Amino acid sequence: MHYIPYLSTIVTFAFTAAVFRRYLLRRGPHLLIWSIGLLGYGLGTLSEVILGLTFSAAIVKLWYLAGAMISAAWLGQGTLHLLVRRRGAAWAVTGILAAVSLLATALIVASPITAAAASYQVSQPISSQYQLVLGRSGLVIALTILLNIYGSITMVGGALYSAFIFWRKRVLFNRMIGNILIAAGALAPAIGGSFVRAGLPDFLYLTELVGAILMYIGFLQATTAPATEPVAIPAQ
Amino acid sequence: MKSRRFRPSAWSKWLVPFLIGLLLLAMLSTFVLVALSVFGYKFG
Repeated sequence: MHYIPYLSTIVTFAFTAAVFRRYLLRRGPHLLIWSIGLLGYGLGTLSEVILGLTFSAAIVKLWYLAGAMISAAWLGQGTLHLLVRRRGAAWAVTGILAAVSLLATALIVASPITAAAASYQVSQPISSQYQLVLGRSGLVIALTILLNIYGSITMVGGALYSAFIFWRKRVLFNRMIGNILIAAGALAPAIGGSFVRAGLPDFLYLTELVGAILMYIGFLQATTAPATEPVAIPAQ
Repeated sequence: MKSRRFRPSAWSKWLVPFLIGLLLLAMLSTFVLVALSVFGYKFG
């Protein structure tokens, strides 16, 4: 079980580096914001690696904050910047998300580690133990749910919307396929997170790895010009 | 000047909208799961 977060961390940080490199070349704000979201995703899986070796209260909090609370919302925020033409509106929402993320950070820093931490087992995934180890207020739980729903709608919904537009217009085949893969990849950890809430924590690590791989392949597919196009038709 | 248009194959005519619909359905299902757990439904 515990080798999966190692793979997820390697894939996610490689993906983060690829997106950030593209940001340095292209300067699109969506690429920078995706990099932030992916960094959170990678810190979450890196925390799982560490928590598979030893217990640390700070790492439990980092796992919950970066992996469970804010990474999905920041990934979705990047998609929002890509799709919303009114730059001012997108930046205003980014400002709100930044404020909510700061609030989430303060709440998690202040959250208590319970006495159950003494019986923490490194052989078991953190996803099956965090509810006992980390004391979470109602506000923290509500924020976690809202941020993840926002991230799912913007990231998955945005990618599916783009794929549908490309399919309907019959243009940019590689981007259409890439967006479908990105949507599937973003959905995978969301499904894993929902299973955790439903009392099935064992699938989270696997869905995180599948999600990182699918999103990375989708990103490469969407950003790499095809060597040969399926069919080139003169523009009308 | 050519645009990057493609002519959909027989499979992509139905597979792409099918996949998009399936992924949308999966996303909505995760929301239902979360809502049920919030309202105290016990799974298993």
